[in-house]
Amino acid sequence: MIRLAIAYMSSQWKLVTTLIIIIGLSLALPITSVKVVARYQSELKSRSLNPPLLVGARGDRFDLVLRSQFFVGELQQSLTYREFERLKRNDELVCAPLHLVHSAGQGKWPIIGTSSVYFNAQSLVVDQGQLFTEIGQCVVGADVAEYLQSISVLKSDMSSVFGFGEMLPYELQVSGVLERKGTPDDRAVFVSLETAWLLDGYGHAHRDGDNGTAVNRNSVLHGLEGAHIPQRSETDLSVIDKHLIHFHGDRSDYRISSVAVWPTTQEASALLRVDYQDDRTTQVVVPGDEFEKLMKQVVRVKDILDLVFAILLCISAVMVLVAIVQSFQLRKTDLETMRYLGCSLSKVRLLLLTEFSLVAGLAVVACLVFVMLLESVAPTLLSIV
Amino acid sequence: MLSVRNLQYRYSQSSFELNVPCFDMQAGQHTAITGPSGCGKTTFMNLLAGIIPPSSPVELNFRDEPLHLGNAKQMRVFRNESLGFVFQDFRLLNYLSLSENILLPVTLSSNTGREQWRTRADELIKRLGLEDLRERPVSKLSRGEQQRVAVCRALLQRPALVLADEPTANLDATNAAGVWELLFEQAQEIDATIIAVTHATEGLERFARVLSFEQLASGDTEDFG
Repeated sequence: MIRLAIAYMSSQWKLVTTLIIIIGLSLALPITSVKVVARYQSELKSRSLNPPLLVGARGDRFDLVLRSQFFVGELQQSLTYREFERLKRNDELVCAPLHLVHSAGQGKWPIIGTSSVYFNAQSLVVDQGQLFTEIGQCVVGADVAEYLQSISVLKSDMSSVFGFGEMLPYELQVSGVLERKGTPDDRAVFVSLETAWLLDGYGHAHRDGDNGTAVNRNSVLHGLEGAHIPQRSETDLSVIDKHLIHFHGDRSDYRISSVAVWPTTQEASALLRVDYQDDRTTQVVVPGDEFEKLMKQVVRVKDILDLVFAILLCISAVMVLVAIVQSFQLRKTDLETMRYLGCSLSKVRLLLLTEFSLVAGLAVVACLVFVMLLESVAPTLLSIV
Repeated sequence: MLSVRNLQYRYSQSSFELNVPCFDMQAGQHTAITGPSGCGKTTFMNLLAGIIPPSSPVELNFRDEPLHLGNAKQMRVFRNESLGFVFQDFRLLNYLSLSENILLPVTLSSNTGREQWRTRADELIKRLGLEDLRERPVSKLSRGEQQRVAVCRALLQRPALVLADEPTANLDATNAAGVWELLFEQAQEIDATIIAVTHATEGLERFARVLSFEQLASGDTEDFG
């Protein structure tokens, strides 16, 4: 029976292939949608709970979460380092500064200026090499390392800092590679806060005999006492004596983007939120709450998609039914002949059942392949936010 | 070998009624039934094969055993094992190869010993001289070749009785002669008895008995040929 079924299906391979594709796709689309949304939820939820709190300048709360936790989007507002120092004085808070302005690889990899506290709190492990110990060094996520392969130098992008003038790119030495975590950390480049400030232009080194010139109005150094810039900017930190690198002004006035906070107690968390409740310049954001809001939007989109898929499924079902009825009509003589030759009705039914089962089985296989393909090409939610 | 009494069939959309009061046949007595198109020859063959049920109870004996036309299972086994049917329109399955078509009755039955039937099919294919085309889909064979394949399918399981319904109606004279030759040669080889209906006069000389359909309907089944 199977041979007969296969022989018939082979003779009708165009119709059979079309049926398999239609059924496979009709099933694959809703399944993929459910799986992708579940993946988005799981990706976002786990990340949105760590760190539990973010402190940043007042403005769009969602932008603050996206930039600070997922390293995507734009964050126009900034804090001063003084704010971080104030938070750090509270023993019940574990704080890590986040400087989220620069990037490398033409915007592909965000450069995150932070401290070792961030690595401990996020359970990030240096898999190869070591954490940055000197200014100009960086630790890269697994995705970045995979791209760089054996290259040990990474050039920062030319960027405009906090709306000021353009800064020249620096060459950063890769000191270590992080273990893969399946989080946005995999595609990030981590540097010390000092290195981030160097990229900002708060600090620099001079070559012998270059005493520098006064800063212009576009420089971040503008307004800082004794500020100057070298006549020839040196961007390769390996050729500079690191001791000659110096910063201008009061560090407390230097800018950072936000502060990741891990309160050690519930009370500390509540008190921190109360502290900043009426603050006009700074806010505390609970990323988990922002995530819930985002997921409500995603679920609403999914509901619309489900409706579209249900309509598609109905159309497909009608098409499959028409194809089957048409096929029966075309095969009426063949099925009659089988009965004339002494084949029982139950065997004819078994033959048809075998054909349906084969088509259904192949459609399930096609569905699985489509789901895998669609899942692999489905963009991560963060890339479409 | 075969005896039929009171075979009646009433067409649902016509006042015409087929009535065969008496039909007897001896083993080896190849019989041709002639008559114009539409006189009921095909219906008679389909009734004998149990493909369509008679309108009233009928007395049918095959090899001195009663056959109940209303018993679907018995008639199915009869059709599959004891009867070979050659159709006017060949009724081959176009998506199967030549050899698969010949083996179809065995494939569709619960018969064991498929290897034995495969050998038998090979013999028949060899007799046809179509060894090179055994895996070719029948749709790619000529009409004459197709009907010869249909004859081989009917004779595969060495049936005692072969019903041939206008087997040469769709063939030219040369192919028709080839089909008759194959049918009689193979029937003789396996000791089968042929009942054929035809409206043509070619090939009738091969039959031991030739009946007109009028004779059949009147119960006078003596040879007029």
